Amino acid sequence: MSKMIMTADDSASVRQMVVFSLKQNGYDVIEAVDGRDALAKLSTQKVDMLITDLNMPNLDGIGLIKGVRSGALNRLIPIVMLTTESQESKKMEGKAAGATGWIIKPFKPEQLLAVVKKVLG
Amino acid sequence: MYPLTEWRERILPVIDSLRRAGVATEDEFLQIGACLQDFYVKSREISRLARQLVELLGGDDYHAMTDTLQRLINEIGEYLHTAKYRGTETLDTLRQVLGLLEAVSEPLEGFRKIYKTLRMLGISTKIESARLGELGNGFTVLAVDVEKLSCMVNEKTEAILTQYQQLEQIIVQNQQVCKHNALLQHVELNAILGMMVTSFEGLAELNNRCSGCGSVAGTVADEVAASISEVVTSMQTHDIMRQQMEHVTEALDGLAGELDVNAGMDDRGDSFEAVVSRTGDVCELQLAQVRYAGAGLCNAVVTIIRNLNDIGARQSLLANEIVTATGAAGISGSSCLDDLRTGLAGAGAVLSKCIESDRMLSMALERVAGTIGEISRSVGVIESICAEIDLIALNAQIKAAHTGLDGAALGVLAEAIKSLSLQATSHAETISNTLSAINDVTDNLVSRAKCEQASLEDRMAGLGAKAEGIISSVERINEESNALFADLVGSVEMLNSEIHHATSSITVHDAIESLTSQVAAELDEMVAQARARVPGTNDFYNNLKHMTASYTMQSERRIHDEIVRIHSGQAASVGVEPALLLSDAGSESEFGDNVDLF
Repeated sequence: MSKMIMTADDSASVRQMVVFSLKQNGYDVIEAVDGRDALAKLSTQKVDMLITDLNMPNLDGIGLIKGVRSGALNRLIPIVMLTTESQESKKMEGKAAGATGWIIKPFKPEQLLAVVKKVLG
Repeated sequence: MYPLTEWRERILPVIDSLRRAGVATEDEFLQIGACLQDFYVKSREISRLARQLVELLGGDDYHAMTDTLQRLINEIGEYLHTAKYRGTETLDTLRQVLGLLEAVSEPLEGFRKIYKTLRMLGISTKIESARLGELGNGFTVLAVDVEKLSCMVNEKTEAILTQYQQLEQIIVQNQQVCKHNALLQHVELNAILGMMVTSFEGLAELNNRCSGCGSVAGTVADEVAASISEVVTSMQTHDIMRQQMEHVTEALDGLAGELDVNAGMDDRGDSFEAVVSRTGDVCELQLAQVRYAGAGLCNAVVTIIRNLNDIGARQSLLANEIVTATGAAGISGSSCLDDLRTGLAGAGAVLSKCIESDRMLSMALERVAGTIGEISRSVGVIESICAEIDLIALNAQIKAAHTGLDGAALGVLAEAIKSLSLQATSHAETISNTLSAINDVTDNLVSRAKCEQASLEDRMAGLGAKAEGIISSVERINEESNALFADLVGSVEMLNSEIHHATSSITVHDAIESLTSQVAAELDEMVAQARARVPGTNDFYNNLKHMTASYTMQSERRIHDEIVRIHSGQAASVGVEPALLLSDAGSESEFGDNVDLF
């Protein structure tokens, strides 16, 4: 059975590229347009991994990670930030919130896939 | 108009344009993304078709077919070799039979002489018995009997002679059949074999070329994957540009607010100069940021277009490589397969003729055996007659002894008759022995011809099955490869057409270039106006310091630092906070310099 991955990003074109990169390699992907949308979907949908942007309207990536980690259904899933943010302080903030990894945009599909394979074991 | 108000009114439309730019261009990017997915699926299908075609013409099935063909050619070659040896041997044997037959002619001639002598002795016996009068009565009867028997010997001799001539004729005819067979096998079959070897070499060459295409297909698939990867990377530039434009918008928004607040300010004080100086500084920095973002997006779109076109070009290259390797019209057009078909059919026909010839040879040799049997029977009859003559001669000798001196002459005649009967027996024995030797030789030939015929028939059945198998494989491969060719070429053409259509309708970079040019012109003019009123100051770093908080990308920070450095020689070393000098890359990981796993 293929793994289910959620991508949360306010950029439709970035979501499109994440979906494209993962689906062609056999993963199922669901999309969320921001942190709030993601959190709502994650409260009812079991996923194997979350890939999220940092800067999003309504609820940002850090808030989303905190929400997921304090929730019930997906609290232990790997969460990888996919963002243009490169500041070390932000990375530390993400790590402290419970992020598993940090990818700075733009990503290469093979990089994303390698990270996904690694964190999903 | 008062400059601060004028600048504010110029900035507001710029802000509006920048705000709309991100939203307006996203749809076109999404459209490109949808095309990319479609091209990826089609490209993967082309790669699959190419691999399938290469596998079909260079894979295991094809190998198995060429192996079978190789074995078939070897088998025909072996047959030719054996047939040549066998033909020579048969001709030698027939020559040997003819030589043996010559040995029969001398005893047959001897029979003729014996017949003549016996007749003369019979007449002499009659004359002598007439001279003896009553005493010679019994001799007259004996003379008549000898005469009769000698006539019978003569008849049988003539019969044997006729059969001998028939035998000679049959053997000479068979020699011709054998020579014809040899010609058939060595000229026709050799020519066919040569053609099949050439066909086989053609197929093997095709196989090699297709195997070579396999690596081209692999390379093209890797190159297409690399192009797709580059498109995916470039596609994200839209999000990056959007964020950069948002940050520029925020900065210009802040400036517009400050200009609005200070709209009524006295233009002769220090505060006014500070606002003008900040306006110039902010506009100069945002001008650089807009230019960088716009150029980045334009470059990314050019990269996207180039890579999409590359995908089509590489698939075309692959299709061309395969078409070149396998022949422009597919393998159906290649003469080697047509030659192969002709060769297999021709080999079958020649081998059928050989079977028929062997069958005829076998029948002819059976006729030889039959004739020899008839001759043997005739010789047997002659031997019986000779035995009778011998008895008559013995009887005559005894009677002559009883007649005393008067019958002495008859005794000499009886002695001569006896001697002739012994000669005849000796001739008969010679003929019998020769016939027996011929019989042995022809028996061997007959059984070998039958054996060869059976073996050839088996070989023919095997050849037929193998040829049928090869032809059916060739036809199957032909059909499949032609279908794959059509699909491959059609798919590549369609992909190229769609890529051309998609890339030629991409205008987002033109729109962004136009927008950044307009925005840059406005900002450039405002910078010039501000610098005309208040030249650049050393306070550039402090004027822009607050903006660093909104940056998310290292590129934004680098541009900021560069502008600061231009305005203040020492700004880069003393003015920029260490935290801002973090590289975009972050720490290097096994996944690349933009990835960190915690």
